[in-house]
Amino acid sequence: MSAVLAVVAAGAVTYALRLAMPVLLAGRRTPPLLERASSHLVPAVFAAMAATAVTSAPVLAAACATVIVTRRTGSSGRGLVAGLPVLWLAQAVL
Amino acid sequence: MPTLASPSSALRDGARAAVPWLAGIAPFGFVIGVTGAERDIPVAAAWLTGPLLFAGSSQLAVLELLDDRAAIGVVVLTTVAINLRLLFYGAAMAPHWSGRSPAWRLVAAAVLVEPTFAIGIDAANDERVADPHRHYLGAAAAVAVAWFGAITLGMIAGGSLPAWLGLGAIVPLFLVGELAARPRSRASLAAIVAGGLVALAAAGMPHHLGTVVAIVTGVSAALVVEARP
Repeated sequence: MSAVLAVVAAGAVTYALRLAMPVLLAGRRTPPLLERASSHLVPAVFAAMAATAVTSAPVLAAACATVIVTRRTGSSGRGLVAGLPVLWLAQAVL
Repeated sequence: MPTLASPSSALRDGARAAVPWLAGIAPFGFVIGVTGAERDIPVAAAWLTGPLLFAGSSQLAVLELLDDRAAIGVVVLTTVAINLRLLFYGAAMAPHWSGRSPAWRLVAAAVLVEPTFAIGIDAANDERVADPHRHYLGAAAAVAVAWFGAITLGMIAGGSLPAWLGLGAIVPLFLVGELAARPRSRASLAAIVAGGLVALAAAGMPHHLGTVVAIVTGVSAALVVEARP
C-alpha cells in the first residue's frame, strides 16, 4: 500500500509541474524572453537526454547511422530502423 | 491558410503525427514494464507509474527507489528533480493554451511529455494545422495508448527478452533522429551542442539534475547565438 501511495504522491507532484506554468501564465502575456526561449527548448531537451546515452561505441555507431539515414530520407523513424541493425552488429564485433 | 478541419480529422491528424514517436517510445515502455515485473514491488504500484507519472525516466527511477524501499519523501524529491523539465514544457505551451477552458488545460497538462510537447509546439506554430489543440489531444491519445500498452506487455513478458536487442538504446537513437530531422539554424545547433556537452559533463549530478542544467545551458546558448547579428 505504501508503494502505491508513493507512486500517487510522485504522480501528484509531476502533474503539478506540468500544470504550474499554464495556470500561472493564464491570461497573462508571455514574457518575450520566455517566448524566445521556448522555441529552443526541443533541441536542448533532446540533445540533453540523448547525449548521456550515446556514450558506448555500439550506440555511437548506431547514432551515426541514424543521423545519416534521417538526413537522407527526412524520416527519424527510418533513421531508427537503420540504426538498430548497426547497433546489433557493433555490439557483436566491438 | 489552414483548411477547415472536422474535430475527428484534427484528432486523427494528431494521432498520425505521433506514429513516428511510437516506434521509439513503445520499446521504452516495454522496458519499463519488464523492470516493474522484475522488481520486488506490488504490480499495481509498478503499473500505476504509467498513467500517474507518464514520463519514462522518472518511472524507472521510482521503480528502482521502491525496490530499495526508499521513503516516500525521497521518491517525491527524486521525481521532482527528474521531471523539472516539465515546468519548461508547460511554460512553452502556456501561451497556446491560454484561450482554452480550465478543464481543457487540466487534461492537456496531464499528458504533457516529450512526444506530445514536440508535436503540440510544432502544431501551434504551423499555420497549416487548423486545430492545433485537437491535434495535440489526438497525439496524446495515441501516445497514451501505446505507452500503457507497452508497459502492460512488458510486465506480462517479464525478463524474457534477450539483452542484445538493446532496447535501452532505442529512445536515445530516436531522439538523435528527431534532432537530425529538424531544420537547423545556428541557434538550434548551439542548443544541441551546448545541451549535449553539458549533459555529458553534468552526468554525475545527483537526481538527474544534470539534465536540467543541460537544458538551461542549451536554451541559453541558443538565445546568445540568436542575439548576435
